[in-house]
Amino acid sequence: ASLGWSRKKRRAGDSPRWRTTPMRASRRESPYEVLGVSPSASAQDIKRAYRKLALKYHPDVNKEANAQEKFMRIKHAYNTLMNSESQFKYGNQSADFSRTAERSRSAPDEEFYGFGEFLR
Amino acid sequence: MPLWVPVRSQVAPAACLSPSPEAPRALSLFSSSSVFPLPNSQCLVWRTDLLVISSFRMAEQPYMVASDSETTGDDKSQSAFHDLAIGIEVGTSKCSIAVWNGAQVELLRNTRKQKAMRSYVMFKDDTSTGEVPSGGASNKTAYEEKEILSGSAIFNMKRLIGRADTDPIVHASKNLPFVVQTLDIGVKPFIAALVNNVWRSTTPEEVLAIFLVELKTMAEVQLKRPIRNVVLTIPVSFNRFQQIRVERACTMAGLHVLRLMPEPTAVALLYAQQQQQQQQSLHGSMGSGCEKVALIFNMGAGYCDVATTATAGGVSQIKAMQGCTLGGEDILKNVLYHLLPNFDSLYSNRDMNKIRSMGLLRIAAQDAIHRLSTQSSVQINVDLGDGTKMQRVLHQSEFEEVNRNVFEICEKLIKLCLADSKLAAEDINDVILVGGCSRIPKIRSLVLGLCKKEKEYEGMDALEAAVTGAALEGAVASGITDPSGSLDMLTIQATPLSLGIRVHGGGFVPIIQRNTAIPARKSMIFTTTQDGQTEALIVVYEGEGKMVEENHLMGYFKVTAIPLAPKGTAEISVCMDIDAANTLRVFAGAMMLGTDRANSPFFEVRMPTLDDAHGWCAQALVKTHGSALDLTTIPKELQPQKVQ
Repeated sequence: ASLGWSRKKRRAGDSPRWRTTPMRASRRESPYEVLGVSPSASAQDIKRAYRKLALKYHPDVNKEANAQEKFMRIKHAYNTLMNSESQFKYGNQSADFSRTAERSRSAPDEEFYGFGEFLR
Repeated sequence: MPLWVPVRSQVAPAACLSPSPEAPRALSLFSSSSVFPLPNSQCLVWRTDLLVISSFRMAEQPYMVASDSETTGDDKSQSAFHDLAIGIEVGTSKCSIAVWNGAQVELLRNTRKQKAMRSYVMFKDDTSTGEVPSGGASNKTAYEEKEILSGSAIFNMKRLIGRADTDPIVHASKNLPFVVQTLDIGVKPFIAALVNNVWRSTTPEEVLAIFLVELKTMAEVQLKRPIRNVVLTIPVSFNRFQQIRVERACTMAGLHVLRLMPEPTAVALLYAQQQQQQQQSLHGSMGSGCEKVALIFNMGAGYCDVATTATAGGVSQIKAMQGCTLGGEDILKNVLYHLLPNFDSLYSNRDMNKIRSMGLLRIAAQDAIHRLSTQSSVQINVDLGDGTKMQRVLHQSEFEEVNRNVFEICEKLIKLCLADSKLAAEDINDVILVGGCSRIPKIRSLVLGLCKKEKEYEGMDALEAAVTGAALEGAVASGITDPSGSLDMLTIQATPLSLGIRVHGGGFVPIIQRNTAIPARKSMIFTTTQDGQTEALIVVYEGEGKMVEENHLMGYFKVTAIPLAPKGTAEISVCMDIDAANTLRVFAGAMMLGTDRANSPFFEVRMPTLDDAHGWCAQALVKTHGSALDLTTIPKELQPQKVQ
């Protein structure tokens, strides 16, 4: 499985993944999937799921080599959902993720450019 | 990064070469991981001195590790308890150490039973031990404030470290009793302490290192184990240069920095723990979802920080941070100039008598400020020793008037922080006031007023919160777990300053915006400004200014092998990465035309790469290369993330 560039991998001589695809994410994955919540989840549920995953995967507490990549993916999913959530809250009637996500991507908030897959 | 060459400091030479039979014994004691025998107090005095020496002899080795390898500390830290990182807060004025003792955080005390130790290093000739300076944590005799202000001690290291001699804070430090000289050319200031009527030079890092050695020794003796890993708190406003200097001082002292933690984020971690415990006792369940938002205001002797945090289930997410170099020192200076308007001319001549009277005035003013926290007016009676006596009353209203600028800056910081975190006063559940200056009535009312709160959060010691949080982070980041769940917590840090690069015309384009949660990684595409441009300079800055000269230059490198193309068509990708240990790496390279593939291997550079005189480098680059290697932004809609 490809987990992007963890430092160990680069040391071992693998070609760094960011080189070719840092900003062009391969596959759009559902942020709901990453956080393990249903698309009808409330902001509260999303926050709770994010915090639970953070306690498990944040590199401060998880010493595995790919913890950082995993956490960044969780963070990205969370930010994407919270962005669309706040747009919804402020009058945008579309709760459909795929459309709100296009907009939130141009916002200078928390963009992330994915690498391969994880949390399958 | 250039290798650091250990300074032949006045700390080491004479004593290192001394044929004292104890020296090798102390050395082996120090380097072995064996448990320290707890010596009787008489014995401790010389052993402390020898430990200072031996650790300086060893300074070279650990530094090579920190500088050359890319290890961030995560690789090395194991769950073993003996590796547990301790928390240290080196304040401008006071300092403290804390450690997770298996059940809770405990603050260590020195032999004088103090938890808050004065931060200073005394330089004195001592015929029996050579020339060993000693600091406020020392087991030796306590120096009185009068002696600390005699010119023989260096203090306020935290205000001086990592600053150039053009910095206004360095200039403001010239009214301290020891010597601070500036040549205004953008290099390290010259600082010196008075030893045997001679001004002997040192550096802020060296002073901090000596002080840290004392703290380390003290902790080792008490905890009966060698200490290596530390979590050190720093002000929010510390740029990466200042952080590197602090890390370097730690390395000189034989300490490995696991994390440098902005002070309010350490407080936020303690808050997260307290909230978690409270909710558990109320509901008996883990991670219940009640989110609490707190504003943390921290003002000590040297720095003022504001942060907002959203906390639930033991996880504290930092929403925004603001900080600046503003603290008790500035308040003291305002009061001194108010009491003695001709302060500068009076003390321009640095003879012993002047230094002594300046010290006495400083003590009297400090004391008056402290008393004004509980009184509406105070009487100042001080004999300055040179025939002048000062007898006057200082009213609180007067005090507040002369410090108006200080309060205005505090107010601005809080407003900025609230705006950055997109919070209104009504969204805040708790206001946490920490640091010595948070005891000033005007500051309390100002912070509470802006947050529309009647009362501040209770249950935190204003002077111990940051170091307690650092010790908690030390335990969490060392991989310690607690069966009762009291270590199941986390602070998700944010970057206090934006990071970006210079573009054509001297503009600054941030790639990672301030208050981005870390670890973080972002990239942007730039393009050429010349037809057929094959090389481009990537000049990395940290800061909030729109133009690069307002920000801190972190380093630069050249991207080569840009495919031949008309200006504005080639694509250069610049990616910035900050890991959990806050290490910054910049990746950059040219793309093949019209593809998303690299044209040749990218460059990876760990920043900062610069040391001193970074202002010169930026000027030299422009002088030598003009705009030939400049980059510019591409329209936002052409940034690839939009395209996909």
